[in-house]
This record gives sequence, C-alpha cells and structure tokens, in this order.
Amino acid sequence: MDFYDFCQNVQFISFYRLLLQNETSILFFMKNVLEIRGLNHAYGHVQVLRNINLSVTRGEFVSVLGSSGSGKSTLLRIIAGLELPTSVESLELEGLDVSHVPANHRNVSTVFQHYGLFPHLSVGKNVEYGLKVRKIPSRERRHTAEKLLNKVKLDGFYARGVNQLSGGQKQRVALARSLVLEPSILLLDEPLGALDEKLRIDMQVELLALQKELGMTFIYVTHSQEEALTMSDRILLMDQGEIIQEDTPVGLFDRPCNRFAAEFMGIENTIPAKVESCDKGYVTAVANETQLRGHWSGEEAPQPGDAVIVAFRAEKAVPFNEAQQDNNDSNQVSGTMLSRIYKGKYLDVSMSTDIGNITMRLWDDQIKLSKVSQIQWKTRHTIMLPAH
Amino acid sequence: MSNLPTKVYTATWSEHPVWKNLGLSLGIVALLLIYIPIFWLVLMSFTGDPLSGFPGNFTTKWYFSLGEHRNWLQPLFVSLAIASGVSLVSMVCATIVGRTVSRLRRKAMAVTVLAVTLLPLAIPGVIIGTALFLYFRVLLGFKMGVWSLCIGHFVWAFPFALLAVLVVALRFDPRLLDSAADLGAGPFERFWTIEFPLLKDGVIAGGLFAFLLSFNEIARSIYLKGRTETLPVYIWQQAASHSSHVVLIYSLNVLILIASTLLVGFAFRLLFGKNTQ
Repeated sequence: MDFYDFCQNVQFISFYRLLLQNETSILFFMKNVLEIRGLNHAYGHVQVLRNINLSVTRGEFVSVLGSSGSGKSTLLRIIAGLELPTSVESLELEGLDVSHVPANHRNVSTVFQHYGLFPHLSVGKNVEYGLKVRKIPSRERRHTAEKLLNKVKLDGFYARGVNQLSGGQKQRVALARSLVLEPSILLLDEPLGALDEKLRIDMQVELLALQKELGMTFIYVTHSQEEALTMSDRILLMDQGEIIQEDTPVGLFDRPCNRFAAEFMGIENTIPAKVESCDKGYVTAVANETQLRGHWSGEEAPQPGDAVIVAFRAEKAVPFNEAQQDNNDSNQVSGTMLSRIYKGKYLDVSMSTDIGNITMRLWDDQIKLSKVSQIQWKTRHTIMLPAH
Repeated sequence: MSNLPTKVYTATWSEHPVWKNLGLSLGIVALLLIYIPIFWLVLMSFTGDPLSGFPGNFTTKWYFSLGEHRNWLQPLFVSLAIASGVSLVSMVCATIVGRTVSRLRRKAMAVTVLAVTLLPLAIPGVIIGTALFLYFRVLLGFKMGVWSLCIGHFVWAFPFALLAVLVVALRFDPRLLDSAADLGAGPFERFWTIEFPLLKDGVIAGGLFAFLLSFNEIARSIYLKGRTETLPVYIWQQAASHSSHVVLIYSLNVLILIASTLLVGFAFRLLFGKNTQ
C-alpha cells in the first residue's frame, strides 16, 4: 500500500465515522424518503385507491395529477397519516414503517388548499404551533417563526390576525407553518387552487425556488396539468384510484400511455384505428381506409388487427398544398371545414374528415383557408395508444 | 312593439298598506304587555307603600331594609350553589354532546341524538318534577334535597346549554384538527389548543343560560326541594303569605332582574356578538 492509497483509506474511514456519528446523517444518505408498496384504500365498499406503488427520492418534486375523485388527495392524506390505509404491504418513511403511525407522529407536513390556519391565533402563533407542540422554548420559537415568515416574504406579519390576510398571504403562512418543522416531505394539496390566475403563476415560481433552495422533498397534488408540467421532476397521473402513468413532464406530455392520459394531457385529436403492421416502435394503422403512421406509446407492443387510438395535438396539424408535399414522414387526410374559433393567440379550426373530426390549431390568424383542404401532421408527432 | 300595461295599477287586498301598519301596531302592543308589568315592578320597588297598589312617595328604603332582614340570604346561597353546579355540569355535558353531534356523518343519527337530548325542553316542568319525585321519593325512597334539585334543574337547563354549544360547534371547521394533527398535536392537545378555544364562547354562554334557568326554576323545585329552600321558592312563598316582608320582594326582584339581564346580555354577546370565524 503506497502513501496515496493510505490517504484514500483514511478519508474513507473518517467519512464513515462521520456518517455513523448520528442517525440523521445516515438517513440523509438513504435514497428513498418514501416507499409505498401495494397500497389499497376503501371507504366502505368504494375502492378509492388500488394497488399504489410509489418511491420518492430525497429532494424530488413529485406531482400527483388527476381530476377530482381520482384519489389523489386521499393518497396525500394517507402519506400524511391523516387516514390509515385499508391495506398496505409497506409504507416506509425514511426507511421506517409508518403504516400504522398517526399523523402527529410522522415527520411530514401538509399545506392544505383550505389553508387550515387557526383563526384564534396570530400569524406568528400559527407558524409556531408545531414547535410549541414539540416543547421548544418560546424565544427560540419566535426566532424561528420570524425567520420562516421572512422566507415566505411576510416580514412584520408576526402579530397580525390570520383573518386580515389575503388568500395568497394565508397560503404563505400555511407554508411557513409547515416548513418550520423541517419535514422529510412537504405535502401540498392543491395549495394554489383557491388563488387567482396571476397570483397562482407567481406562487408556482416561488414554490419551485423555495423547494430548490431548501432541497426539500415535495409531493404536490394538483388537477392542473399546466401546474404539474411547470413544477415537477416527475408526475404521477391518477385516475379512479390508480396510477395510470408515472413519467417526467416531457415524457407524460409527449408519450401518454393510454387514451385517458392522452386526453387528460390535452391531446385534442384521438382517432380509432386498426393495426396493420408494426416495426421498431412504429405502428401503421388503418382508419376508414386511410393509412396512418405513428410511434407506439403504450406498454406492450400491439399485434396486427388490434384496435388502437391514433393521437396527435391540434397544433401539430397544418393545412398543406401539393407544392410542399413530403409524403414519407407525414400523415395526410383531406377534410371539410366545420368551424373556426378565434381564441386570441391562435385559431382553432375544426375539420370533418373520413377518419373523424380533426382540430387544427393555427398560430397565424391571417391564414386563408379554403372550405376543403388537405391536413398534414408528422408521423413523429403521432402516437399510437391501446384502445382500451 | 312595446309592452305597455293594458290597465291602470290598483293594489290587490294583500298589497294594501294596512297590513304593514297592523303588524307594527300589534308588535308594539305585545311589547307593552311584556314590559309594562316589569316597569311597574321597578316603579313599585321605589314606592313608599307598594302594597297600596299605586306608585308615589318614592324612596329607596326597601333596598336598605333588604340588608336588615336577611331571611332571603340563605335561599339565595342555596340557589347560587345549585345554579353553579348545574351550570358547570351542563357546560361539560353540552361540550361533549355538541361536538359529537356536529361530527356525526349520518344526518339521521345527528337528528336522533338531538331529538333525544332536546326533548326535555318540550316536557312541561310540572311533569318532570312529578316524575322525578315519584321515581326517587316514592319508588326508591330517597330523601329530597339539594341533589334532587340539581338533577331536576340539570334536566331542564342542559338542552339550552347544548343549543348554545351547537351554535359554535356547527360553525367549527373540523379540518383545523387535521392541520393540528399534521403539525404534531395529539388528540388531547388538538382539543385543548384548537377546538376548545373556538368553542369556548358557546360553552360559556351555555353555562350562563344553564345558571339562569336553574336560578329561576320553580315548577320542578316545588316537588324536588324537600326541606331545602331556593330563592324563587322563597319569593313565591313570601308573596303568597301575608308576611310583613312582602314589600321587600319588589326590591329583591329588581336586583335579580338587573343581574340576570346583564348575564343574558353577556351570553348573547359571546354567542353572536363578534364573528371571529
């Protein structure tokens, strides 16, 4: 062993000694802060969550996206411990099984859409509440609360009553009140849902900055795909108590895995078709004698004859004339105009075609459209999905 | 083409202004019926010779002689003690039942619990008094006294205390308890630091109502008092007899009137005065 190796070993050993000195530092280096396996939940006979599996890495921003009634808020309540699951294989927080631990013994904290601020306490006392429960001396409490209020840009609000605050300010207080506890995971249940458009967008940016600054794990429940796409590292799309798809924002946006996901992610055009052939991820399908090509976005590759859905976004469809024809990498169909709707930034044109109605989104509102025209969209902008 | 009215407007019988005036005048008559006797009582308490039936020769001597003839003090203390006990127990019970009712998920269940707990309001006092007397004295052979008065008064006062608590309990947002649990508070801490402070006004108001109802109670007390004398019973006995103390009843009543009006005013202020939520 030469001198260099020796040094390396010493470093290695001292590094581990440092780790072993206290438990929390070991936990810090563990990768998954949350691990859920086989979670089911029912209210009476109504199954609200089915076989949920979820791992969340430390520092990750995970969004749970779904419409109301999809079970997303229930999932959050179960992670918070506000409800105990009907059955679960394992529910681990920081590597410890918490499947039967109530909310007040879990180191996670929730920011609710309804804020949940205590009306009889001042802003400062609200923020301090969790610390008071933990028997932190009052001077230290106050100091920490002031610091957190500063972080959420509410300096000087310590003594205010919570009823004098605006919606946005209440949300900041709720945020400070949760952050003060330095939770392993911050759970956010549609936190911006009650705010108006402009404020919501500002708060999105702020929340994201805060999350990066603190390096904290966020699980963010929302019904807004735009919110989920803007903020998340990863999105879980939920429907009827199941996780339909789990992907990055880009993945979910470009490659939804089934019809529900496609429609939820705002893909306007979905056309039923039958598979003709299939190679290297590309599928050729036929809808009413028109051949369409696109890449497979479902899980298992389809067989010829299978029913599929051909999906593409309205903004990818353009009217075209014979001159600029390039047949190879495009799908084409001719159609008759049904309606044109002016939307300010763009123009939505609805066309009736042999394969069903198709919406085109045109960004040039000066465009001259003839009653009958050809529509074209690239095969790489076309996805093929399982029909059921 | 315009839609002009085809005929001149005339008021139908139910649109006639006489109804509004009639309503107002009847209301005034009703209020006079209530307040004139009370005003008369106050006036007579300052009258030199109230038993003559006519005011005049005004004096405050009856108030001073209350201090000399102290027979009413003993019943007053008994009444105060019973009212305090009844009020305290009512506050505790009303809090327990009130927060339960506001949490019941099934509406039918909540209605049933409410109906059962509020029913004594609908049972005449004499009946409850007789029933309790027949049960405890005749059937079980207990001697009546302060304890039976307490039970009778509690049965009477509790529904009112419950109603007062319900006013605030139904307004309480149980999601706040989720917030508190989420921040680490255990069940008792959640109740004591979040729920109780928000229910407090209703609980105190309920306690005040219970206190007054017990303090004023006479119908049940007659059956349940045994040898114990409460203030209302004492006043009633004095007024019915030809004792020389009858004149003192006027001034005593005025003092009680003032005290209870203040209490009720305070209770209503707690319940409806400031809207904190």
